[in-house]
Amino acid sequence: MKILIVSFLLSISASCYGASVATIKIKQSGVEQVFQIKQDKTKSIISLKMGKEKAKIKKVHPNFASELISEANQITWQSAYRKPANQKKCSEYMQISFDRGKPETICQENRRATARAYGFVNKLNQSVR
Amino acid sequence: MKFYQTFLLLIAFQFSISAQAANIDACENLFSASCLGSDGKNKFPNKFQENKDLSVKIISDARDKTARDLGFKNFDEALKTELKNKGFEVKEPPDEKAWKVLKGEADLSGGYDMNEGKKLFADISNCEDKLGPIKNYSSYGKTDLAEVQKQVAQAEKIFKDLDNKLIQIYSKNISDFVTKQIGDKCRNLKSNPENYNAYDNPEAALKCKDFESIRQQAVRIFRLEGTPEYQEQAEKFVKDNLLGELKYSSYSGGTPAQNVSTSAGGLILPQKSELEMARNNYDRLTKKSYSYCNGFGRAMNEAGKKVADDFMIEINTSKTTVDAVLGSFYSEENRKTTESIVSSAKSEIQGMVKDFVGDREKRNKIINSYDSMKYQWMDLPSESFYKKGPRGNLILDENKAITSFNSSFASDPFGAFSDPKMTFFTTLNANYMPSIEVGALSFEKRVAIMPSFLIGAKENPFYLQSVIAHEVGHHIGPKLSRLNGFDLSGEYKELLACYKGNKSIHLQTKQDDETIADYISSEYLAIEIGKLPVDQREQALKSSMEAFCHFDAMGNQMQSLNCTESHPENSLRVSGIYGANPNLRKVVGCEGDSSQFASCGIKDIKLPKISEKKPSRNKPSRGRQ
Repeated sequence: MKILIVSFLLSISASCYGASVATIKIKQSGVEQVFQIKQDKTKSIISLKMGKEKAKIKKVHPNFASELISEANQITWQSAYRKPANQKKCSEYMQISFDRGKPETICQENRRATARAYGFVNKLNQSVR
Repeated sequence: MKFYQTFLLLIAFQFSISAQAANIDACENLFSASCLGSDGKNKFPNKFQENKDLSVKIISDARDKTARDLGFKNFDEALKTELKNKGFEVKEPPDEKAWKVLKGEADLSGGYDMNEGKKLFADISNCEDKLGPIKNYSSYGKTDLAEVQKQVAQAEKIFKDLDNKLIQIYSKNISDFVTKQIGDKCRNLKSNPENYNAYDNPEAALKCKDFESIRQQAVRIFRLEGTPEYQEQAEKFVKDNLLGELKYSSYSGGTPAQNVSTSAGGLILPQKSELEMARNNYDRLTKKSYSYCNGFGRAMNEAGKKVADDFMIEINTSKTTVDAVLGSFYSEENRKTTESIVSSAKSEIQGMVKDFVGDREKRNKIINSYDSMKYQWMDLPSESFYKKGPRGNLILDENKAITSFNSSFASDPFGAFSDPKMTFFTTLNANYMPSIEVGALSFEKRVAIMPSFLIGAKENPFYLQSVIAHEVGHHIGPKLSRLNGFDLSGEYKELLACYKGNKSIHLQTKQDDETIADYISSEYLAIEIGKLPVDQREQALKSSMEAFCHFDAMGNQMQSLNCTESHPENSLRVSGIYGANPNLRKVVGCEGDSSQFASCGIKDIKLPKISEKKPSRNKPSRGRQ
């Protein structure tokens, strides 16, 4: 059991390592939506790709991109390290990955993390519109 | 092909919205007649926002109630107090928009405000003022050692105070501290290997080599959040790991200790004079002062938002808030209104199925499956769903949360109230979900009308009819009927071909299910509106279309032509589907087709006998398709 927990923690570590790109994948109404937040000193963007369609891209202020990446990070921590005691399984609600790291799955059984992720997607949708 | 489709769609769209003169005939252009005023502009320009504002007010009033229970004047005062207690003093008065965005009472319309943090938190705007004296003094050319040393000491004191504040800030947001403050610096060091073990970066290099163990320490402390031991451990952790003083971009200064070294060749380097070292130190602090407040502001803004979010979750999930919010949105009156529409829509659609589905077995399967379709309603959680919160009041218990295979939380109060901004209650939408089995869990087919839609019911119950019938109609859509075990794609073949035609809405691929749901809804409206006195029918039909006008006002679908949405454009939905339904046209007294859209319908679906008929007043018929 201990080994399992350790390996799980290590798998998260790469993804949380000072990200400048966050990728959020969620399936809504049967269509996969992929949001990407990229932040660097010269150009920060949010993009949304729905299914096979061309991505919508919006340039945003680097501070805003940083804020969104921070929120994605908080949801990831909530999901990975504060699971409800009664969470036995994981039905995927959303996937969040940082840079090229392994994605973290936000499970529907973790209703607190899912609730925050739900509000977060709404904010991303508003931002990319 | 795509260009051709877009072109045809554009023509249809132009036709649909061009007839904007006064007194538009609903038979000719239902969208303009329902949504546009005599000036050709939307009759409901603010309706979408007004609806959202109403929802926000319900939430805000409920939070005020809970705050009063906890001994505060209102929620604003409670939130400010919580922020202040955690080290985040809110400016008085706070910037109205930034404050509303923080509480989730306003969205980001108008764009992100890069000065939002400065407008909200006093310490962010004070940061630059505090560093002003450092920037204003220059040690260049100064010869008085005591003076320069005094300036260095003063600057260091200023930074020490700010760093102490920074430690307090980061201790409230450990995940951000590890990821951004340490992780980003380590990433930069890694991407610049020449600096990784750089002479002037020994501490940073060491920390970064040990990053994984630092992160795991952070996880351990993160799990303590909410316990009495958290704060002390978090502050100590941040203090031990704050890399604010470390430089991953080299600077040309140096501490006295560094200046008594030898070069690689073993030559003794001349020791720098004390004055030169003091001046170098001052230069280093000046350089630091130029970027310090950006990082400080970012950390404070993000930690402040986290503290606010955590507090809002606590207030949102308290029994007082839950009771007040559910009492307003999910009132008994709203339940009666919507349940009766759902029940009537199910029954009338079952009747339609008898008309147009020839296969008896399939027909019976559909009719039976409608009997078991649920209408999702969020009931008040029982006492057992609550636990005692840290302030002594009852809050929803996470361990009693209901997992729902749906992102909308329609059946899960814990989820709906655990989003700090309570987005579920301010989203204007409705949905249908087929039966789904996930592992051992199975979820019943159901329709749900989201709360924000429910509050519009009092003002105009007609528009709920079209929305609810659309969702109930999804159950027998082309793809969904296949999923539900009674494939009706053959039954819709002719109808869909009609919608694809040049004289109709130029139906795009992937829009079949939404279009059929609209069509079923239009058939339902034909039956319901046909029950009204003749002189009330046209107005009832226009009122039924109001929801489409709200979305138009939102500027979401109407302002850009989009061939890829699962829903056709609103004007096409209203004029080309509802306005072109032969039965609906008949009950409101329209004769023949409109000049813009050919009528499309399933000829086997018959209207109940209409006792009265509106006088004929339209162009000669072009015949039913």
